[in-house]
Amino acid sequence: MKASRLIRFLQRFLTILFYGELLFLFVLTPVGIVLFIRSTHPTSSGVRVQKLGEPEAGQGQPLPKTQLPLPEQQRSDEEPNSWMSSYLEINATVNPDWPHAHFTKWATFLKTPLPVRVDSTSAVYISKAPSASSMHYLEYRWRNWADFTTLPLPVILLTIVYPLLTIVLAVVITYMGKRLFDGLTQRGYFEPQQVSRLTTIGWLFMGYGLSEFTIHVLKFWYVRTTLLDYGLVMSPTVRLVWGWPAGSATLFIGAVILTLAHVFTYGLQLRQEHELTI
Amino acid sequence: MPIIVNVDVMMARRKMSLTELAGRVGITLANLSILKTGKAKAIRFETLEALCKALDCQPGDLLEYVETELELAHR
Repeated sequence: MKASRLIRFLQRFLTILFYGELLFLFVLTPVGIVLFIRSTHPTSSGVRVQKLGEPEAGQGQPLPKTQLPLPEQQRSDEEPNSWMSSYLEINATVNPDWPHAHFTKWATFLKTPLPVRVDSTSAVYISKAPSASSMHYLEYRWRNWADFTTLPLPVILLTIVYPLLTIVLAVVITYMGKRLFDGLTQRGYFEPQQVSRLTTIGWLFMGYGLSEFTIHVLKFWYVRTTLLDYGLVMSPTVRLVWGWPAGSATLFIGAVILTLAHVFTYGLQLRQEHELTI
Repeated sequence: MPIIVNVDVMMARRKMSLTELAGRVGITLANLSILKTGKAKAIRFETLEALCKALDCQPGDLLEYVETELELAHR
């Protein structure tokens, strides 16, 4: 059976995407990391990130280590262009009129569009997302390798390691998709290899969605704990917004692909029976 | 499979070669081979009719039902 124009287009698209991802992962990313490490000087580190302390007694009360926004001049001095940041989203609807929200110092953050430093001894900020007015970020600033190594382990895992693993998984899915469409254009639709690849892609999508959901839960937990540690929200009335579960779209796509794989299995069975009918 | 295809037996009785039978029935050698070796999943009535005509026999001469050991054990 001749492959349709759409199938051929998707085959070419996935081929280009796959090699683009390889270029990004194995060439551009390492080059970027090397250039960054070479351009920074560990000894000139200005503000160091300290590990977060244990939660204090009376958790949730405003802690004295939290400080108000710095004056404009001082703030600009502390924001050199060489900063890199690791962001964790705070999915909180910052609405002062919300009866259940007892965010103790959010009013301070609402007054300024600029990042607010939450701790005078470490480079931890709360910054506002540029587009969505209610979205904020827990921002860990660092500007060289030495700073980076002082970041809390959960921050490194959630903001650096996990995205890299996600990219690797995306490359594997793209590669499987490329092979699937190669097979569809060259050998036809109802072949055992195609069914097998489709099933693998379905399970990879399911794994991807599940990991997205897990990471979302872990981020939620970490951000909540951190905000409590800094006395920015009060327990137990802290309520961060929990919308559609993260990864639900990917899980749905995975389920659809697995269903399609079942249809292909049945099609393969029908084809084999047809061929063996004399 | 408990259905045995006895095409080769009838071919031997009629002293007919595989190529000749394939030509008379109008199917390929490959398909006739699949039928002869018992790999076929189904047979069309028109193929069966053509085989009976070419070999001058009845469908029962070509197909035979044999109970498997498993079925005998379940009795």
